Amino acid sequence: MTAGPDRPDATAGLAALRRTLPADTERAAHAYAIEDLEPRIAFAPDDRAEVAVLLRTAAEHALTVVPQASRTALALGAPLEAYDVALDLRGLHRTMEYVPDDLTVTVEAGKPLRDLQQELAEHGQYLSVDPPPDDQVSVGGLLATARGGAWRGHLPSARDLVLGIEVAQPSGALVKSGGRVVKNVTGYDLHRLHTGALGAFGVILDATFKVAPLPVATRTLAAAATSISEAASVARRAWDASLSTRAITILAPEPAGHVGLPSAPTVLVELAGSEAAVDRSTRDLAAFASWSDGPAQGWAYLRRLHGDQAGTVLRIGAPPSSIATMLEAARAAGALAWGHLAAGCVIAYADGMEAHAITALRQAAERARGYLQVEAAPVPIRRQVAPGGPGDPALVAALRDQFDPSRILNRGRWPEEGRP
Amino acid sequence: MATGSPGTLVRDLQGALGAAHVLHLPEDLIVYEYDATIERALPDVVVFPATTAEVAACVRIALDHDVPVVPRGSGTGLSGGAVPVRGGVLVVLTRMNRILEVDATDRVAVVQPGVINLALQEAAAPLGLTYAPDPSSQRVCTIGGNIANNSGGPHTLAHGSTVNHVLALEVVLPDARVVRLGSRVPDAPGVDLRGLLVGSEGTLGIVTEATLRLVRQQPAVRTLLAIFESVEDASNAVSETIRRGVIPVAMEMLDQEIIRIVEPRIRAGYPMDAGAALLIEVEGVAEGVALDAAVVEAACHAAGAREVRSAEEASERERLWEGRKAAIGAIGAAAPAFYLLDGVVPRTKLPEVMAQVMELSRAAGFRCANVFHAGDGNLHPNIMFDPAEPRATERVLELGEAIMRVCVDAGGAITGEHGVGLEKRSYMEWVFTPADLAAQHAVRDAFGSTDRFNPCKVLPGGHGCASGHMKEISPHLVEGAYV
Amino acid sequence: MTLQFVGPDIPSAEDLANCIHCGFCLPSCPTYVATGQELESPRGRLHLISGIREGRIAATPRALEHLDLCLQCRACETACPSAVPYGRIMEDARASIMANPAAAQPRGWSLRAFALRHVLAHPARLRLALAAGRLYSRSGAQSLVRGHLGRLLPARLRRLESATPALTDAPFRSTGVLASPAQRRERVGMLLGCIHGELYPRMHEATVTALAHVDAEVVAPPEQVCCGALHTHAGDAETARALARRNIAAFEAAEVDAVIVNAAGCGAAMKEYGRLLRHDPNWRGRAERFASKVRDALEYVAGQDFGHDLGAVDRTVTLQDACHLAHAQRIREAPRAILGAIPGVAFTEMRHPDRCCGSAGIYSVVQAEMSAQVLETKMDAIAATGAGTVCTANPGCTLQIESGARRHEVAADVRHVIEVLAESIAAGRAPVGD
Repeated sequence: MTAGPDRPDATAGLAALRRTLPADTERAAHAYAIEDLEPRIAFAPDDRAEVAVLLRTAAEHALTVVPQASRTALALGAPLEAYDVALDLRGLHRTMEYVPDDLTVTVEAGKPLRDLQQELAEHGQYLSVDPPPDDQVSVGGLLATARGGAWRGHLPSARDLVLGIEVAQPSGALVKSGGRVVKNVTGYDLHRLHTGALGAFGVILDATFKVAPLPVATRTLAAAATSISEAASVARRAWDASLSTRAITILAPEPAGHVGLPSAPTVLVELAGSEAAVDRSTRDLAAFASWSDGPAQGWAYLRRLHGDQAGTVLRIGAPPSSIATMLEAARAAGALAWGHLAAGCVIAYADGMEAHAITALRQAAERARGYLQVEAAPVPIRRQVAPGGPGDPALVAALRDQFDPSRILNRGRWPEEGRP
Repeated sequence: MATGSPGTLVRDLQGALGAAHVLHLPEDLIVYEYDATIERALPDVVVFPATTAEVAACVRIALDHDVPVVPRGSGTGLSGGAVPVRGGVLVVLTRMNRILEVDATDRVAVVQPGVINLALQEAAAPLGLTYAPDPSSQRVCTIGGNIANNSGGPHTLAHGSTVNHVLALEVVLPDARVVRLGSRVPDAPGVDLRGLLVGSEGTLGIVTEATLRLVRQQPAVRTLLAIFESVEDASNAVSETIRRGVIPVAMEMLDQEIIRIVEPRIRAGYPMDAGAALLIEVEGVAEGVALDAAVVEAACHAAGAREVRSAEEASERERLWEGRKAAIGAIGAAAPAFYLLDGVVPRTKLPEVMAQVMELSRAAGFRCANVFHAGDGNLHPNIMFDPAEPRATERVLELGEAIMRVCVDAGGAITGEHGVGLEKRSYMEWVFTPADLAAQHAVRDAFGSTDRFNPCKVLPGGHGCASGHMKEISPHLVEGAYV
Repeated sequence: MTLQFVGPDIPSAEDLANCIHCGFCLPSCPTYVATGQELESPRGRLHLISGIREGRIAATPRALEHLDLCLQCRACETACPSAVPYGRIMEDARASIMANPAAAQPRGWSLRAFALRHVLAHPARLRLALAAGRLYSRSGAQSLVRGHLGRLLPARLRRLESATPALTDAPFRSTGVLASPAQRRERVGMLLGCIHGELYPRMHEATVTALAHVDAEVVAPPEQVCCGALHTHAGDAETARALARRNIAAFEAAEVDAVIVNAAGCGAAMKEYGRLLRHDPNWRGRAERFASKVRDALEYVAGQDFGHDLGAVDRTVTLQDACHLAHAQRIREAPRAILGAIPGVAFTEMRHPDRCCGSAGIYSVVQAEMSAQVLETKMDAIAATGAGTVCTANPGCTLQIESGARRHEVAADVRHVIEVLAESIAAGRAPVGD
């Protein structure tokens, strides 16, 4: 199925795009289907000026554009309402500047995180993020979705690490904000506005990040508990001990079983730092629970499940005091559930879940002063249950009126009342 | 610029807040014409709201009278951000100074904007927690001001600026609407307007409540003082430390000039003959701290340190920090006036940029003292001068501009933590293209704040604003003023 | 008639220019802490003074009220990184208002100056006023009022009454040689002050004991007069200068090595006699020489070998730093060193020991409401220590904290540090086994 009824000027718009963009950047549109929508046309430019031209031309002809690279978070946000042009950004994959001694790197948006991490690792550094589903995630996608994993709360997230970006706006303008220095309050932080905005205000072309030294040693430890609340209290003690932790995750029995541990409520801890700090932390942990070497691949499993686009994935924001309760609630709703204590979130995975069950979980989360974000679910469910949460729709609409007045970018991702 | 009679404006505000909380006589207004810069401008009226509803009422009344609204905390800003350049209603938030909640379980504090930064740290400390951003003015600056300026401090290196510690905000928008942005739990879904508001210098709204992230105090902390023959050696020690894989929580540089000013007054224990000193702090689990300290020490020696001292006792550490925190003020006693800059450059450019800063100062004939966040590449040159000398102020401003140019040319930016405010609006054009600036103006338009909410701040241009160039401000400089 | 700054004491542009408006003084200022208003802050007051000086604003009663609300505790000077001489600027500003023709002066200010000039500067009149008070205390009326009867008094009167000290001891009016120890090391002169010996004779007695203990011959020149500190603070610079000249002459004649003052406010003022008389070519040099000899009693004793032959004193003690000792004279260690050396004393610091108690000379009378507000915070800090004794270094502080202790029902004995030392000296002399 193709998006929306054919409009009189669509043909003219497609022709204009073909005229303005080099022929070798056009791709077969069918390869870019998202859910039940197939774009009319697809381009994979390898130059930021081409991206700008594409956006301006599309805006002139009211063609909707969906930027993408690794296609790892297509089910995030409300379902697309229109999809004329696929904008494949994988051609933008250069590292523009990397100064290891400055701990900063500037990379183009289409670069997969994996490639970036490899380059950084050569200098003993890394970008301290672990987004779902894995390091296939493109740099642009990392920012546009702002998703984190088990490290969130222990290490700064993408939101905290982005120092500046350049975006292409539907007007065709290329706009920078921030810079390449690690501390900067020059002007509005537009890069924070774009982070997590699901492309609502522009297409991210490149970003500068603050990177960190790779830890010399890492160690994963697991401790089983008799109940989720006991597991939560062990996790809590581990957190309060201020150790060299990079992750403290509470697993319900089901996911524990999936990562090769006994099917019991489990605390999974990752230590990272110098050998001495990891050893000391291991000793300190032993003071209040019995730990065994945990499955290091368990983290990758959890990330993959969190990033699964075929199932139903919920991210339930819950203050640390409510993690256990929300974990139980998610489990009761039939989900595989685990909670990242310091991040204040429970991830619930299910093959499917009814809208009313999701709504009930959301209400419970909000009572605990948290929130619920639908990170993946079938289209009909995402039409019934708003994926987002708090925010101010009027301000968001006013900002979009400035940056994307005809709503050509990712139309539908952020539903607006009173707008088609 | 104001329409309608000022009399009715005052009356309406008095009606909303009570006469005791509205100032409008010249002898009252005069002490609200400044912040910690040279900028001066009188408000038409000063109000002291006590609640969010009262803030909204003030904004609503100002809107009805079509006069500017400017928020103010303790007035310690270093960019003229709280100076009401076009008059209007100055909203002073010092009465909203309650810490509403400190929750050790969720590691969250909820505060009103007038809470003093240090007061929050003191409230969190007994629970083993701390609020990480620690600007040098933390004894007096307010959380609201910190949020407006996205304030940093020595510990930004490891903990990040204010924006990394703000979870949620309650904001009165320019149209007097009250909104809540973000959530008590990080990474709220939806567009991150919280991140946009932080650092917007009061141009997009007035923060009336903030939910902040607290962090656990680390089990071990060590402060090191490394003494060098030159700023260049000290700068190299910074890069060398990071190259060896250790990121301290703070790396602060003091050059010879500042050591000679601070030490006799504060007696922090800095050697008077040092060419430069680095104040370095590492924290974490005890074993990690010992190891990191050893790495730092080795890196400093490799870069040519003459001596590295180490302090673990709280009192010793405090003494070392005392000199750093009082440094800027001590310059006030050493020179009739000084001009404090806030440039930021990539850390590896520090040696060459510092050499240029010193060369430019020498050529211009001014003493320049440097105390800054070396780990972040955040420079604070202080140009000392006597405004009584002919053209001194003008020449100082020229020098300041030349130094900012050096920072920008080195790939840096015009402010690392003090904010753009009034002073640096025109420098924005050095860093951003017209398209970049148009996007920032678009944000302002979206918030409906253009020309009315803290007008003439952050962005160049604006209706009724001077071009904002320091040179054009200079004729208005008060004699002996600190810039 | 509009007021402006006139006369020889107009605050200097250089002094004012030192202020960089950083605001670091704000949290140190008791009135800013109490009000949260820039107008009641040191930075704000300096700006008001600049504004008046430059003619940008008129010295309206409202503007002057803000200057008047200043305690002159000078805590801001300690907090100030730029070394702004705030106390001096405020004194100059007040003097420059009081240099206006009498008719133009703010009524409250001239009344106050009149009272100070005609009472404090004249011992006989002062004693007459105090005699009535003494009668009140000794007759037993005071204890009645402080008992059940007091509840019948209206709040304001009760507060005023509670601020009145108990005048039960015989006043200290001795002059001449007060102590001549066998091993005379130095000859020191002692300031008796205008009201001090009347209210707290025991402090003078203790001071003489302590000075003798460190082998100082103590003399009190009979010609000495009030130090003039309160006059300076109130802007009556001329009376202050007249008093200073008399004191300088009196102590010069006594040929002393040091001038010992056991009231921090008086000592701070006398250390600044040189500046006070800077416009007077005949007296400037003499004033500077005199000022260089002035020592606070605690400063002097702590600098000598005082630790010998001390007996145990069983007291739990906290210390209220006298503002004019800690901030004006920058002496913080001496009282702590002395208390620390006394056997048996258990010492606990209170929160913000160097924050003003609200006494501030005559402030507690003329700005009663603000003073009470400041005192309340202080009494909370004192109560939190659980100390049985509050040590001070100034009679004004003693008076104020005694009144606070009565009003807030804090069971604390208020003593000058030197009194506790004298107790210890006495205990050291007592025969063993007594």
